[in-house]
Amino acid sequence: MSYLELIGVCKRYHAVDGEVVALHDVNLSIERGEFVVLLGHSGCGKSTLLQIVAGLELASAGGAQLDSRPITHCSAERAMIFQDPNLFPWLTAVENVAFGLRMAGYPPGERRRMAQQALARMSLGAATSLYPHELSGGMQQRVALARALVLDPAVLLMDEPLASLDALLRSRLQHEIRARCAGRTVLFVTHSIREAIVLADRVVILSPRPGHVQHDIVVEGTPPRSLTPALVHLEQEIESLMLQQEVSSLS
Amino acid sequence: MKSSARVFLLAIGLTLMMLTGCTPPQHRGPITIGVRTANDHVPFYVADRQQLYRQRGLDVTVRLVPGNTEIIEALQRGDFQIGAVPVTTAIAAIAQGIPLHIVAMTGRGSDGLLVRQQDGAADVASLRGKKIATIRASILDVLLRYTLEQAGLDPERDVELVYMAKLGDLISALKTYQVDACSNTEPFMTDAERQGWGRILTYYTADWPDHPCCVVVVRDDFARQNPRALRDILAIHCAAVEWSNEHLDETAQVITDYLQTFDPDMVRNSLDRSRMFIDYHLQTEEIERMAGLMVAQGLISSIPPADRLVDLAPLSDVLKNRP
Amino acid sequence: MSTLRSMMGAWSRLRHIHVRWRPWGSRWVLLLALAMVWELVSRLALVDPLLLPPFTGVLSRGWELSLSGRLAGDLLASAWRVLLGFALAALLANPVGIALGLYPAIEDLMSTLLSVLRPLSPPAWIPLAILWFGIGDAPAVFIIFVGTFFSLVIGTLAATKAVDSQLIKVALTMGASRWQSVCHVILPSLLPALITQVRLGLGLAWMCVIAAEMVAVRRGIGFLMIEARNLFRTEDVIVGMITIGLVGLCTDRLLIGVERVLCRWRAGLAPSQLYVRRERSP
Repeated sequence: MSYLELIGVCKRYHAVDGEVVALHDVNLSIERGEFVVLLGHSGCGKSTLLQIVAGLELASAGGAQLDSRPITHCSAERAMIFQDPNLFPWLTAVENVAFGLRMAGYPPGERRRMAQQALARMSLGAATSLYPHELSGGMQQRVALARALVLDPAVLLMDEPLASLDALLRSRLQHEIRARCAGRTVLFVTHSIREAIVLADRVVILSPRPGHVQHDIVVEGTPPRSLTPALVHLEQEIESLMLQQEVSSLS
Repeated sequence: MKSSARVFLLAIGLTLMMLTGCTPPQHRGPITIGVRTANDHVPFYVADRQQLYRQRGLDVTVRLVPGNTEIIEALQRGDFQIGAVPVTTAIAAIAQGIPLHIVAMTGRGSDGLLVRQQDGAADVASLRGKKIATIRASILDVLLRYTLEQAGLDPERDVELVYMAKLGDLISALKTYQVDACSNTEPFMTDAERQGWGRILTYYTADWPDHPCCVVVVRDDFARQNPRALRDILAIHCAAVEWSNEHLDETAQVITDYLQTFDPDMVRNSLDRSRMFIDYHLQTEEIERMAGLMVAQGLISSIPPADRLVDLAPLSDVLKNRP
Repeated sequence: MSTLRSMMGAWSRLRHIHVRWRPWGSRWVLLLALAMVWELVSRLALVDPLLLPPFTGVLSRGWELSLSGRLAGDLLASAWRVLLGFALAALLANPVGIALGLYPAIEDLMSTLLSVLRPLSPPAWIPLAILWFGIGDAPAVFIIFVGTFFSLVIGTLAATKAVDSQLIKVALTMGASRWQSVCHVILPSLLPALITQVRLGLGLAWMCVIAAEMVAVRRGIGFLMIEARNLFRTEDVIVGMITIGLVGLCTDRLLIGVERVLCRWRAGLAPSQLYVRRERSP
């Protein structure tokens, strides 16, 4: 069995006009240390799948396992970063980073030291006592990343963390994420094909709703990758696969 | 224009707009008499029911109002031209310069001390150290303090006075053992006796026989501008008082109809001569005596001049010209 | 030339002071203007002075009541009841409001009861207050409690529902338990709203004072005003109103200061600041 295993995961919701099946029979195996990117159209259930792995939602059928243990609730071993940094506005940068450590019962001195080190690794040493509203969008997202990484999670879950950033910042943070997450098991959601092929060891493409794994593509080369002709070709292939999905779902 | 100047002018404009409504207009048209729901206001109920005002060609409306202060405030605004209020309320208003004066009596007595049947005090002197509920600065308060002093008790030191807002609250507090006695009026006291839980300890008439209770007050400007109408209304008042005293059973029914509560038999008991007396006669001296009590109790600073308090002339004219 | 320069410098400094202090000036100009109009209108009998005594008359009466100690004593008596009644209401209403906000099932159960009880005005509770608590401070405190409790519950409930659920998700995925997420996310999120609730609630509590002090008290601003009304002392009534207003103003300013300290993390411009004209620099 793989390190992170999703077995027959289904998710159904009750909506105003009947039942909605968000995910249907999703099976996915992720090895320790793999950086897997989930790609798909809007509404295909990528974020829902991530929330099930995080323990924020329960699957309607099937389930997820981490290291052969079923996932039934939230835990710091499956830390999650969202599209918005979601920093706690009443805490400074260092206090935000130390939050998880505080929940785990670390003494004040030690958690402050660990948080400061985590911020320093993100080149945010000068921002420790600033409040979130005093930080730029990119700085906030880096603090969010430090906050998750300082917990040394078994799996890092990222739900479109760079979607709201500009292209330059995005590119810079892609490199930073890859650098900081080397050797860490990551499940990363994006709707950007280019981002997927730059970052991922594997790209998993979900079908339109109800989402299930349609394609699982290993990407050659060491991430973060520069755009070579081969990668551009891969990007076009993936784009064409996704267009086919769209056409099939419309018909 | 600078913003602070704009603010200043806006303030002036708004304030003037709001305050122009505060000046009572000169009265024209129908006459409104404000009365309360109480036994000694029954002459007005009788006059209204028997359409005595209309028979005299007067356009008069009798309005029932729940509170004495509201009647004075309505008189002050000009909404009412004539009112019936406790004598202490009238004196307090006149002492503050409100342009009213007293022209007739409407009731005497009817106020006293109520205790519980079961464990109530035997006499006024036994109220030493007890809690007594009353309405601050009302006639119930003034006469209670007078009666306590007559019994040798200091109202501030020898008893604990508890102030409430409504007659019903006083009854409720006594019934539920929050207080040991309450200063109250008819027909509430007879009603408590009738229900079996209350006992009338004393009427204040024991210390001041036939003390004034409620009086008829009139706006100064109305009296000046409408002397004939005032005399006609007083003539009707006198006739209604006499009718009420001669027909106590029917009077009890009228009170029950207008108050929309109580039992007619109980109300009939409360009208008994030993408890109260509906009357129109008025003496300046008794009004001044009541004002003197109010000065002694610190409710007003001085006794208003007699000619500000009372005008006996209209009532005298009416009585002179009666057949 | 140097004289001209120094005059221009002085003028520039004066204008700078004027620009900096103008907001304060405008507030007091408005109040002063209203007071002057009040005084004139009453003195010139444009309005019956019995209905609206002159402003200086009210001030003079207020001074008399202050010197005699009556005003201070009554104010302390009322302030004590207000603070106690409000504190009890807040202590109970905030956890109830948070619980209702977090548990829709409880909210469903309680919403009808809350909707029925909330519109009842404080005077409506007087008979029950006497019955349950007797006479003295207790029923007065109860009426203030009941006058503020339901509004506080509704306000806290709304604020709890408005807490950003993403922050709670973040906390849970960082290993916080449910209780920890309440203490370390929901409560700090609610702090600005709770301070606003305290400001509004204290205002409501003072509004209940007159009703509360109809019930068997012997001191208090409400009692002073009720007695003054019974004796037609309009000046005393207005003194009572101004006293309550000034207390409200001081409390409000204090709480705004507290909010600035406790919530200094609040970001950016307030909406109102986006609509003001920018001052030209002096």
